[in-house]
Amino acid sequence: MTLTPGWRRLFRIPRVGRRGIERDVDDELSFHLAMRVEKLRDRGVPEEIANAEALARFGDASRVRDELLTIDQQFAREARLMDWLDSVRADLRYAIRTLRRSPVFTIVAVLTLAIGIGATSAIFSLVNGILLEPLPYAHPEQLVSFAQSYPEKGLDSWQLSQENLAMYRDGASDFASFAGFARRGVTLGGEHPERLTVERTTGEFFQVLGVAPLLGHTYGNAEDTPRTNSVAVLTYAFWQSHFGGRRDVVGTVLDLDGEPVTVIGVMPRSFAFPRSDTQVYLPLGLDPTRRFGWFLGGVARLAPGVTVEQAHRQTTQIFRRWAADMPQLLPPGIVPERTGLTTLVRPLQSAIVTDVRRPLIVLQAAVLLMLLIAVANVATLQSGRAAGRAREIAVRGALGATRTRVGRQLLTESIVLAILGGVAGAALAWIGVREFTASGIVTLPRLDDVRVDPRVLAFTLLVSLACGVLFGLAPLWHAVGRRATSDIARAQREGSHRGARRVNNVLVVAQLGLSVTLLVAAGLVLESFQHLVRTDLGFDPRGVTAISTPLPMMKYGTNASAVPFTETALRTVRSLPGVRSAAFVQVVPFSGAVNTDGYLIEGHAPPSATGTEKQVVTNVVTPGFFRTLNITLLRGRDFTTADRDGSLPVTIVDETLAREYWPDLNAVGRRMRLTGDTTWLTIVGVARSVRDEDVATPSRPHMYTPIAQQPTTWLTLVVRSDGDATATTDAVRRAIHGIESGIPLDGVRPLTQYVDHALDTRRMTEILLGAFALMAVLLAAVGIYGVMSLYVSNRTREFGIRMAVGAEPSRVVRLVLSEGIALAIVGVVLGVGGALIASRWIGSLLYDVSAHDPLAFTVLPIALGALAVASCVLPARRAAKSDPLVALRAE
Amino acid sequence: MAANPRSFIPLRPVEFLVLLALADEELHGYALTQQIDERTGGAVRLEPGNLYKVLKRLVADGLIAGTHRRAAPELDSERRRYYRLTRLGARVAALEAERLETLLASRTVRSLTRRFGTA
Repeated sequence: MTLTPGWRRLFRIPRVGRRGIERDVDDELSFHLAMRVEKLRDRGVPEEIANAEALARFGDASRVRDELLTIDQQFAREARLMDWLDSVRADLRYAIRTLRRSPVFTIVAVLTLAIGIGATSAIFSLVNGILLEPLPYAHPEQLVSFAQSYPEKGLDSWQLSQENLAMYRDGASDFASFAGFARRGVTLGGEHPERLTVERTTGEFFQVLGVAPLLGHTYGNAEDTPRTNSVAVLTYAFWQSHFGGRRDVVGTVLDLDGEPVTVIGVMPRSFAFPRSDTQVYLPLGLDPTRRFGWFLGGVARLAPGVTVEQAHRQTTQIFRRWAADMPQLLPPGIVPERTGLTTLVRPLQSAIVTDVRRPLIVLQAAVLLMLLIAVANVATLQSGRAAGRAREIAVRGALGATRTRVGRQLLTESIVLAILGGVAGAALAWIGVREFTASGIVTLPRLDDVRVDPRVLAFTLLVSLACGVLFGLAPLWHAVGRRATSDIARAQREGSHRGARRVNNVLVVAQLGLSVTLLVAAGLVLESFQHLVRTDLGFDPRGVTAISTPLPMMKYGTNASAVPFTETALRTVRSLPGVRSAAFVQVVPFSGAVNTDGYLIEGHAPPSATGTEKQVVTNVVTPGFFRTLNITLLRGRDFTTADRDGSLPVTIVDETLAREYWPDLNAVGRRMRLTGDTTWLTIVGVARSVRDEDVATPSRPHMYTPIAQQPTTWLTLVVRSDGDATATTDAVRRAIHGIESGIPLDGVRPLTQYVDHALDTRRMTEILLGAFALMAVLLAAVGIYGVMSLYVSNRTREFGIRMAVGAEPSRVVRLVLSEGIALAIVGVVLGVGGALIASRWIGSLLYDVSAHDPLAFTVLPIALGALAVASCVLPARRAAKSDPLVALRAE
Repeated sequence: MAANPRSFIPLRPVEFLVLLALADEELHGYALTQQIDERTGGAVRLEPGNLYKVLKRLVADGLIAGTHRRAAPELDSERRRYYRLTRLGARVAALEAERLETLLASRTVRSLTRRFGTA
């Protein structure tokens, strides 16, 4: 039995740690044993027998020892945990007390953080719902989108014909199921005919997505036979809006384009494929003998264990076998293997969100920069308080608090602050996301999946904690980084001198640098958007209303019967007051639809040997179309009513096409034809090129044909009106209804809306990025002002003395300003460096703006630098008024 | 952590004996067994394994506390762990005593001891 070294006993500190616990137990047990032996010896029992007896009475000593050790260790662990929890609780109480003592600081800091964290969480909800959250279908990782590609024909992404679809469905073993779908408009008959957006799909559509109906059942392969499939599956929204959610809807018969169709099922609310505005799903009635007509989008479910790459290889083989059998497709002597013929198999999720991925990631990065500025801002505020707290901390140190303990206390305070900011931020994010998704200002894929869900909240908590630690570092530096000083007065005086100043300098530079980076990047995007908005589209959408006028299929069985209707309708509409001009067009600009075809110019070489074929965008119009959209005719004439069936087949081409063959645009009188057609069309006019697919990409070659020679029932009326467009539109609708009552007239939209819609993603990027940059600049300006004020008030004594010994106030002002300017220069230079990196990264979001745009890279940084210097002026003037007496008395 | 003394009632007999033994003086483990041995007229003999488990549990519950000290520095200098009653322990012991008193004061107990008791 050894004696333990003195100090532990003296202080009666229980020994902790495994070793200590063991020794305690051993001591206690051996003492017990020794006492018993002694007692036996006292009774006269010989030593050996006494020992043996004592041990025997004791029982299994090692088992007892183990049991006691376990109990003690458990107890020690619990005690440590309780101690720790107690101290955390104490820290929290103390932190809350401290924060309540300075309410202004607390409110400003929490608000600043709430804005930063709220914006970060809101954008993360978009990233989470759109990019991260798996699609709401069974085993979404097995789902792929499917298309074909024939680059030589300009068909980068080529949809499927019915024959194509059947051959993949039946021939590709790599898919568990395979379906096609095509968007169509159908007219729901009744007293007030209504245009519905339906998706015609092949039988395995619901099987591919693996979603069970909410009511009734879905259709399957049996419905893939033409004309045995008069059934419909409703979406949840349509069921709600048209049947009030009645459960007996199954069995109801709808009049769709004059045909009776029976409702067999309703899909659940979450089902929104391929788009959320779909109202009804109808079986396509697949006809595998239909070789032409490539209008089907493809979606498939991979068989278990099959990779996207394997499916791509297998389907490409099938595709090429099919192409080899298509003399129309391949020029003589060319085998498919020598062409770029391939299938496009892509994971469905990335295919859906591909266009918004980059903008969303850029926004997330931007908002994180803004958050960093907010954090720097709060750190500045903290530094401001550190001066006052140096004394308190020194006192606590003198009373025996270790540096770690004080540090933990300060960190707790920062984290409490951050959590408060996080809670407020989460609330802001929740409101923001709700308003944003409900507002409909932008249409994003999967917007329905965007919400503040547990994952977003977890992210918010994590971000808040990270912020707390980040801005908690500044006071930590002040308090703990330096050697604790026992001189409380000196601690107070020097509390925020050298070390603190370094921290503050870093904060100024960081805030300025980050905001310069963000502002320049936002500036580039804003400039791009301005360029986009001001892009000359080649037509003027303002004042034009597009009214979709699908003709009832039953009545207008042949396309030709549509022609008299258009003539009557135009005569009536043009005579209405307020109507300046009107025309029918097959494909409205920016409607998302586009028809393309291969073409030949008379006298020019036929398609080259590799099968490469020039593509042209085709559209069908009535006379007056160019005038209605303000598309200038550069050469020749518009179509007239004299261009009709039986007269000379004519066409109007656009500048882009004309310029390629006739640089002087003298195309009138030349002839061209579509490769799939033998009729030569005579060019009667050259129109200005229009951008009708995407604002950012230059127009492809276009050709227009008159409706009388290329009849179609798929029509939209475009009306240019003077004055009140709404009143005119109402009159137009009444007039059209007077001529043909079977036309649903609910598809009325200003043409500008189509264009706006095409800029949605870019507009969102622009608005949000601009807002973040503005917030960042405001925060940074406030932060820099704060730091400089702090800098001045910390040096009040020094300035006072300087002036007492004869320094001019202007000299003091210069001193402060030069310090500010030096910091501003460093910050701006670093920020421009950051912006150079950022601009390369956002290159794909820019339009008509160089990634090193001189305007953005000079004006904005200089402006921000000037703002930074300006925020030093007030503090500098305050410095010049430093009174040495006041300064010294403050000691 | 102010625990409610009532939550410990009823005590197990051994625990009550330990608290009673510590009511007047601080004792080390061995002395405690002697005390209990004496008080119960040899009826309760605590094995060391059992004794220390009971002690540790009582310490964990906060009814007793262990202290290190030398019994009599001039006699021996060995470090021992002494146990003493805490305030909470004292209140719990008192509550338990009251409980037993009420129980023992009942008529049934009195008639039982009158008819079958040894005294």
